[in-house]
Amino acid sequence: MSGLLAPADWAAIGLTLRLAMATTVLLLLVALPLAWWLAGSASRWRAPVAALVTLPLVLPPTVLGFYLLVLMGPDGPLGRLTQSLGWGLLSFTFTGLLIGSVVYSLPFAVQPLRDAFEAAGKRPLEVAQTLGATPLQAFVSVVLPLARPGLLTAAVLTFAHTIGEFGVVLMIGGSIPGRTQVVSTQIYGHVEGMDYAAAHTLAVMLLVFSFAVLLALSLLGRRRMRVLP
Amino acid sequence: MTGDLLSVSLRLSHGPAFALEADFQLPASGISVLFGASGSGKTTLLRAIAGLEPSAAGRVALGPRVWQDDAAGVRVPAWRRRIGYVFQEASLFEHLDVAGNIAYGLRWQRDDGAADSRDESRVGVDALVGLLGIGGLLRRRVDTLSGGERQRVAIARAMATRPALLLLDEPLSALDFARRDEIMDWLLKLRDGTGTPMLYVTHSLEELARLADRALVLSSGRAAACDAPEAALRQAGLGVVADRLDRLRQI
Repeated sequence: MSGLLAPADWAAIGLTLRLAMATTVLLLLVALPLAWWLAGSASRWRAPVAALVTLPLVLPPTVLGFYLLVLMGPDGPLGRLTQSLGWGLLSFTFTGLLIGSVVYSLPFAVQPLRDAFEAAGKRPLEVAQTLGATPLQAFVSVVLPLARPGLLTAAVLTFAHTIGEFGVVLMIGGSIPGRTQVVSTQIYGHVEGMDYAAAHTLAVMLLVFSFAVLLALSLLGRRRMRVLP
Repeated sequence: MTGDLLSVSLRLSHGPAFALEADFQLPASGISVLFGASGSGKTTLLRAIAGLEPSAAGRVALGPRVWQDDAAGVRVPAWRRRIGYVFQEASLFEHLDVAGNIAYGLRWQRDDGAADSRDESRVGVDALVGLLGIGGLLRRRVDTLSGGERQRVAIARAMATRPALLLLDEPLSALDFARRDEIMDWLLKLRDGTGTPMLYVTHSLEELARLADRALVLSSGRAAACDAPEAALRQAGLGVVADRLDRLRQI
């Protein structure tokens, strides 16, 4: 296998996996409270926030990437902040990619979690509280386990979606080998360089991976439906 | 039996359509039935006593324990009120088996000195399981239980934490007639076996007749009376219902 792929390809694969894993972990931490709030809040901010969270689903990734780039750039608010903190600029770095990926995959994590929380309702939380659990204890011991299918779907979708992202990555990260070059941008580079064979190898890997993920999700969903008589 | 009183003085409104006003004192012993038509505010009142209705204002105390006193700025959250609550639907935790459901509350029990000597006389989990006849179900998944079994497990779960007061919100309404009869038997056994005072919400005369040591009648959002069941109904202006209760009792 290693003969089939160039070292730069392997580096791109490694970086992609690292990015997808970091995005998944970070995004779940962000999406859990956000989805919980969206599922239960009566606030008038709920609808605008829900729309905002869903925006990355319909916006061209280049638009999203463009604004993030401006935001992180030397004159953007985020760029100024990171510079004043002595962190330098986030654009064209792994951290920048990570932030972009989290924003880009937000709806893929929030929606399944929100559905799961809404399906479970407020009742389990109330029951747990009458049994002596604080709201946080009740959330961890009852709400999260009940929302486990949604949690799993959110994690898998985020991971897969991040692996397949292209536009945002290209805008924020460029395609710097070893630093911001992921599989999708590497494929683009191969095609631009007329190296179709190398592009094929990586493209087939992505194709098989994505299919396997969706198949696993669908099988998982079927098993959940089969309740004991 | 204890000489404690449950004293409640609560105001609550959900818009102009619904307002609740309740002022009453009940001896905290045996089964007190909170009786009233659908929509009279029984469930809301029970939830407010449990601390699940943030908008309810006033005072709630069980003996020396003050759970809410807005005039004094006291509001004990639901999870520290030492109550048990049985909801209309059993609302068991689907990710735990029967034993896990019953034991759920035990892991959060605080030893905050509030446990008084009285509690020692109350029964432990094993005795509770025996009293409710669910010993054979402990390893079962909760989605394999019948409606009556589910409600018995929910009662055991609420009682396992040795609450100072057990609140029950129409626990039989989702069950068929045969099951209702059976659960009422279990509840009477539980009352006699544990000495835990219960506040029981229903709109069923039959349950009132079988279970009530006393009754509190709620009509159009006001707690109308609190006395022996027939007298309570008559005071609330429900003489016809009182007559029916009388006949039901004679059967």
